[in-house]
Amino acid sequence: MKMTGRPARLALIASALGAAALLRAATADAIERNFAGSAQLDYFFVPSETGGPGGRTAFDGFTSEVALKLAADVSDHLSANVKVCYGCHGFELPMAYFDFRVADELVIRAGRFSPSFGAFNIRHDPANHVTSDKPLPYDMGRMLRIADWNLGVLPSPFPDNGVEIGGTHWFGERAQLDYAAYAVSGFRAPTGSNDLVWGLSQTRGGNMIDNNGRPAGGGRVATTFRIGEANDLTIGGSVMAGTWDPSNRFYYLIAGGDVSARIGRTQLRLEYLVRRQTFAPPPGVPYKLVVPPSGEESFEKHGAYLEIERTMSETVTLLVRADGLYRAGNLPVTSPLAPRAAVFRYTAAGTLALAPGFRLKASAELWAFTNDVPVHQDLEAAFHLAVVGTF
Amino acid sequence: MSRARPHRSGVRAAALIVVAFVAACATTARDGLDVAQLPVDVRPDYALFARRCSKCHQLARPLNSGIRDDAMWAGYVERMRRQPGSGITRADTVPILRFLHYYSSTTLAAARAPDAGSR
Repeated sequence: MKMTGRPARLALIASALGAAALLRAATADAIERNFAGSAQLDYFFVPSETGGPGGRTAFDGFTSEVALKLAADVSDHLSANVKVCYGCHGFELPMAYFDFRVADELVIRAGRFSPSFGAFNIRHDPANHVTSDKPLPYDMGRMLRIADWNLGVLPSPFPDNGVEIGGTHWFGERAQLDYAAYAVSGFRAPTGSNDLVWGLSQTRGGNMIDNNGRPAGGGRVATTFRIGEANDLTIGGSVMAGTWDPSNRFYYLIAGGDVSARIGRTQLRLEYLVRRQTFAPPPGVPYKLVVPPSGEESFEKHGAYLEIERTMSETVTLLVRADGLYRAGNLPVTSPLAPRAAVFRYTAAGTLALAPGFRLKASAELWAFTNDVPVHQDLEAAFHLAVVGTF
Repeated sequence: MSRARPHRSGVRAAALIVVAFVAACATTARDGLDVAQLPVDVRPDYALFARRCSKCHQLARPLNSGIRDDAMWAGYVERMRRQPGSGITRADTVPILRFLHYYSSTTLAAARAPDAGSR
């Protein structure tokens, strides 16, 4: 049917308005949302891994880490971030939160996120660091003798449900102050555990509610100084504390300090973490040291890393790193660790750009384990070869 | 409990990694842009962009983001500026956005070129 006269003009106007509305909606979509992601495929080769009578001591072989992130600016003051990861333990939701920004100096974050702790966490995505794995204090599963050590001091990322208040302020053009304070559900473990059970804080843990109803709290303060046009220095301190058992009887306290400097094309990073934790050895379980009459024990787990990263060219980046863990405290007699045990690792690594946004990663590691004596008792080597891409 | 010490397979793995890395060095790919290919007046803006934005991630992340819209870049850079320890001041955002506008407009123009699909 052919339309003429007024109905045709009305239809044309309506079509034009509809098209304009669609265009406006499409433009709004383009302005408000950003979709990004990364993927790493790593092959971890551990020559000493035999899978013999002692079982596997490392998750060697192929592993992949995939992350998809959507950031949406709902308005000038409200934004939302959702990130889904796929890794060694299946799907994880490390980000699902709103940021309500009153000003740069006051941002209220609510939802699921990794609370502000330490300097590494902002770089935890494998696309944002040179090595395939993380520094030992933040190890999430690529360390040797993983079961003996129960990962690092604070495996990264460490998403949790809660609220954080933070912000950033520049003093002139030379100094940036960042702060954050938060309350989150906190780490957990069942009654009778002698360490945290990290899996209960992950999406695969199934039940994502707190086990004791009492939030954990913490905060971070850091200052970045710009020194000249190509150099800067960041100094930060972080703390986190909470109870981990259903009866709120036992606590963990994690503290850390970090210094990082960027001098031209060289980055130097130094970070130290310590976790102190109390627990009660279950009756009938023999321990290596005499349990005090109170029945309450504690241990400390220290971790540190020092790394130097140098961008050699637009194509090649090299890194050397020394990191380690030290644990002091009572253990069940079945544990392979002594009441004082340490592990040190020395890493040489590099990345090579194969295409924009697509890199080859390689690293070689020398591990040194020690039990009770301050010398390297036991050496092992390990190697990573990976590709990582971003979009 | 004593575990095996590093042995020949470890040495072979290290050698393989070195060989793979050296072989791959034949690549001419780069993470950022070739400064020599940029107009002279854009180079200072690119230098600042490269310095600030490579602190936490590869330059390929923003360059490959597919963003072409100035307003979207403004939102993107604002988000980065507010990151803890970003080292990006409000004043920095001006040359960074100027470079990103140049980059978007030239890559968009290249993508719209009649023979773009054949390249």
